[in-house]
Amino acid sequence: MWFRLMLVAMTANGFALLGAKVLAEAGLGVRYSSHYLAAWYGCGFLLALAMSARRVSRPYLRETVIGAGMALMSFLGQACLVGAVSNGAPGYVVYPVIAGATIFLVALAGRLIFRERVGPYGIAGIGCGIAAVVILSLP
Amino acid sequence: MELGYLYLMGTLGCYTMLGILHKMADTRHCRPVVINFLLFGWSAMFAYALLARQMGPAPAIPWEVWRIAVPSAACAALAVLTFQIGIRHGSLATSWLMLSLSYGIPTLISLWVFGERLNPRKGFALVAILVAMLLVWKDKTLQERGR
Repeated sequence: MWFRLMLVAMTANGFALLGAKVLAEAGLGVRYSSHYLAAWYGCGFLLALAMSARRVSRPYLRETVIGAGMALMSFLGQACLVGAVSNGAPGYVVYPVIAGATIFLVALAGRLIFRERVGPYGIAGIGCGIAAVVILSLP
Repeated sequence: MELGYLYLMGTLGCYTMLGILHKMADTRHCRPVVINFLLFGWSAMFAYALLARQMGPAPAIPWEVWRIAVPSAACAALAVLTFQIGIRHGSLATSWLMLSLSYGIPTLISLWVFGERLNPRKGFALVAILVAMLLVWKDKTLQERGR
């Protein structure tokens, strides 16, 4: 169940990432990146609302706060990424570090905050995955 | 330390916190469908606020941009929803890893659609993604057998 759901999430997220690539290939990336982000989140909101149409109800306070926190972190993360690249940190350092270190830090948080146990195969998988995304994000 | 590297640390902190909040939403029994539309709803507000600051109120978004954004956003909404449902059945560490491995998909599609060449480095990374997925699957299978 978990693996199948994660495969769907992984594939869907991969296609979602492709949008920025298509925008760049169409020559619209520099001029319309903020427009794209606004359209992307706006469409995502409407589609997410449509996905929940049958079960939608008023959000609880905790859902509103956590949802806002997630949105803020996603948005600030993106802003800091732009800030890093435009303030002297080279892209060949920024992208691999973010790709690899985020997986490691989130795994560490899972262990320290949520007391999760990951077996030896899982640890090897995390190591292998970090290597893969670091290599892919190298320019 | 250069300002760029401070921003880099900020990015790391934000994305790590995002992962933690996904798991926190699950442990606090938040509904995945609600988290999904709230995440996009709040983000849309932030993004429109930024766009309005840059371009003035009621900025026009070209049709070509919408045409690219709609299918991409549909995939993202599906990804967040399935991730939020799935994280209930697995650990944050391996779930986040699986989501991060999606970096391989634009690379694969770039090879087919945009005619980019497969160099040894990219080939190695794609194989490493498959190996990582197999190892995580094995880990999960062993954990379920152990219960």
